[in-house]
Amino acid sequence: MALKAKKPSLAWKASMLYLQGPDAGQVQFTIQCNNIPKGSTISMSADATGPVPPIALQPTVISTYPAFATGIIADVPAGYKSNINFELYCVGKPPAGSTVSLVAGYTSQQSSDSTLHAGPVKIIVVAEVTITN
Amino acid sequence: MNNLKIKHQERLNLNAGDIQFKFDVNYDQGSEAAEVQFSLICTNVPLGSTVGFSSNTSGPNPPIVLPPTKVITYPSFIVGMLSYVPANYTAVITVAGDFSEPPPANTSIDLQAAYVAVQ
Repeated sequence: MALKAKKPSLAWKASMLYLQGPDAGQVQFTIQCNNIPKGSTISMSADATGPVPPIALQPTVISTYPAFATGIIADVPAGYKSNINFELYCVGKPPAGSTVSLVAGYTSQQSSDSTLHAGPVKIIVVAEVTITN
Repeated sequence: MNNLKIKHQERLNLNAGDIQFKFDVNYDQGSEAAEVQFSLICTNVPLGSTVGFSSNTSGPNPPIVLPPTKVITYPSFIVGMLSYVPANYTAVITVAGDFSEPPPANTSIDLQAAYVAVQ
């Protein structure tokens, strides 16, 4: 019997209400995928405009397993409020224990230091939602 | 998580006309193991370009490798992976890719190593 490539189908869809608060800021919106099969796609969009660039991520192919992350950075105005939606199109069914998280945060340190070293910085999470099965 | 030796991200500033890029970042985890998110922060990278990275020493689980991945959102796009990195791990992480067209002068690619913390 010939093996047939599976086409990704809509597996999970979720929204998070995002509130920026009284200060504008540069926010990193990241989707973290755990145990999601390669070839699946993940996308994100916000209902309300305002951030630059807009909070929108085209369907991005998951290229590594078991842990993949993708997203965007946007300048978000003070008082911004919106649902942020994300969709997972999965190759097959998401395996047991797999998760997709949408994390909004800002980095605690940013440096233009020219020394050739890098270690972890801290992403301070301001909003997070996780889907699992 | 207070004993990390080095805490920042590394940026590649590109020259106009570059079609391929490659740069090395020395990574030092410091004295505490952690789950670290390794991300390429692409700013003004032309759509259809590919970006990826790999480290030259083993230890983290899964290995710190991102196969060439297409940039499909503009002007800001992040792609990466998460890995559990043991204490005192050091490596050279090589970031490389191809541009689909000559990138604009304000193009940048950052390798960010970060851990997620709720404040």
